[in-house]
Amino acid sequence: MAGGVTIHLEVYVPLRGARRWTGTESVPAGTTAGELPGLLGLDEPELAVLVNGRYAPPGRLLEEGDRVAILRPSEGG
Amino acid sequence: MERILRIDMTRGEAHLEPLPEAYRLLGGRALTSRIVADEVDPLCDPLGPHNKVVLATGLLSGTALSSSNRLSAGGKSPLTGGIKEANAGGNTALRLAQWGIRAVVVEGAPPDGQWRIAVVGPEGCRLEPAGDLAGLGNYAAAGRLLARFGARAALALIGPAGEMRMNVAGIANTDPEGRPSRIAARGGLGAVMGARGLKALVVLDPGPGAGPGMAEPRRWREHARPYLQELRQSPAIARYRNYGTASTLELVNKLGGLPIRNFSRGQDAATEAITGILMAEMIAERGGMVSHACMTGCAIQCSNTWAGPDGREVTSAMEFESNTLLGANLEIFDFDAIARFVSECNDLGIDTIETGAAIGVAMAGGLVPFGDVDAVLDLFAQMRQGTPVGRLIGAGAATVGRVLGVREVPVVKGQAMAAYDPRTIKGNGVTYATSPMGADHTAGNSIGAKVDHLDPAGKVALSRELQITAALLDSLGMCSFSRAAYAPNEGHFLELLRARFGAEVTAEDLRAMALATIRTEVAFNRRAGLGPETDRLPEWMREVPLPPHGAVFDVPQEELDAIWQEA
Repeated sequence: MAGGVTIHLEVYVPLRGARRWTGTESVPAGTTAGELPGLLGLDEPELAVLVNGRYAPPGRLLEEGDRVAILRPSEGG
Repeated sequence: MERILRIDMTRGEAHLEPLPEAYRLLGGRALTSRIVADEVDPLCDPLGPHNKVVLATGLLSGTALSSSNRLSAGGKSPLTGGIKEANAGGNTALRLAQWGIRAVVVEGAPPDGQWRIAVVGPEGCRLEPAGDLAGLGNYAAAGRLLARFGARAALALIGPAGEMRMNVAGIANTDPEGRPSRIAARGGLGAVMGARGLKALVVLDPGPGAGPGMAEPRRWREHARPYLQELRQSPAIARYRNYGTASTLELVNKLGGLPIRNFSRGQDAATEAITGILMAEMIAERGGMVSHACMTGCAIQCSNTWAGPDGREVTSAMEFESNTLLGANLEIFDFDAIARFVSECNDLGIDTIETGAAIGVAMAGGLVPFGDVDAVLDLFAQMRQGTPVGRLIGAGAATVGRVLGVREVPVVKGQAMAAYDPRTIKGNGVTYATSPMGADHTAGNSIGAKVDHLDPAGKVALSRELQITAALLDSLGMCSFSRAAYAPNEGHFLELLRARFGAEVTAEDLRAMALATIRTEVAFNRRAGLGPETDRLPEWMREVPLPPHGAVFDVPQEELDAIWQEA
């Protein structure tokens, strides 16, 4: 995508017919971590977005080469 | 009138006592810790006759209120040498509360060394010989007891590990279908029960309509409804219902804090074979239960049942902590193998976390190879037989490390860490270090916080608040997962307490009760010889970097030392 940034993406909720989707993704420059699930069409609430192995604040701008993971937040009991 | 059931194993007697006024608004962990502090000498031998096992129901236990029937078990821990509370689901707390029993205190030891069961019913409690149950695993023992006392009875029992007084032994509780799979696992309280000579507590079904006294039943119904509504609508609760706790694995792996190969790596692509999302699919394909209530009436239903390839049930439940400590930590990335290990743990009556960590240390020490499923199954067999190697594993990770000369032992106060490496998940590191419970994530689990877990800043404050909330929920008898519905409904919970006890209880009262509980526990530990120098992570975790982030635990020790001073 022209004017976009390329990220490495791992999605641990169903996306594009896959249980777990992995690949590179081009997103518009200026896309934030908080916007990414919606941009991908993921409508599950409260998904966790990690950028480079850390929780990203929703307003964090995605940068070229970022490793992004989208997962369901959960904890053990 | 609620009561305390006191079981004197030395005299072979049991009797009911009125609940002291000072205990009227204490339940669960608040009550077990208070009774232990009041009645147990902190310097006593945990396995000697002066220690006690205390089982307590929560302040809100005894009704169909969702997720409110956790049973707290307390005593002096043979693993940590300090005070311990471990809680579990199952139906024991429900049944006890239905009989109007807030707590059970088991004390003394039988002079004849014979096993007994205690049966709670309409006549109070009676002790019966249980020689026929000695040596039986929990599944067989529970099967016999439920056949004799009725399928709706609830059991709190110990397996062979508790009989052999192993530090990894817990107290197993039966779920609504009678599986002895809900274990108050941490801290070796099963060994303390074994040292009392009590194989099982049997609580008969009191029949329809039984329940604790209610000052204002109408008020109770009115305020129970919004909480249940919140549970049903909460996205967080829906995730537990659909995926259990197992999906935590992919999150912690991606954060780089998953214990792999005895806590030597925090991330591994091989974990793709044991993700929560895959587990849910496999359970559904094989005809297991993706969602299951571990206690009657629970709307969260985070439990599950695992079936083998032939569709037959192998175990319940497959959970994040077990999948990690008995799987990734041993470099075993195979659900069917992990399910067999969990089944062994249930039957032996042992803690999957402590056992998995102990085996991981044993693997690091060269006792058996990493990744070897058969070798792990052999270790379980040796635990059942009580061989020296089996007893070594049964003594827990700290002992295994000392015997085998392993430095990288993931323990605090002698108790193994759960499935969050504190070098990455630093809030949990604070909890491990500062909780009077030892390295116990349930005392204050920070993984749900959307924060930068690698940043040490703010983690003491985060852990402190989580520890206070955990102590509060543990005292109400509430499952920790109800936290998502508790916060927005705190006012309704206060009303429920008013309806139940006819007493005005404020949010500040509850917080003060939770904090007082923690302070009581800390004070007990100090008198037991666990000084501030034990409130720290092992030295190697501040020095040995954890891949992939190269993280070490770097929350300043002086901040840890001040955690309760600032509360």
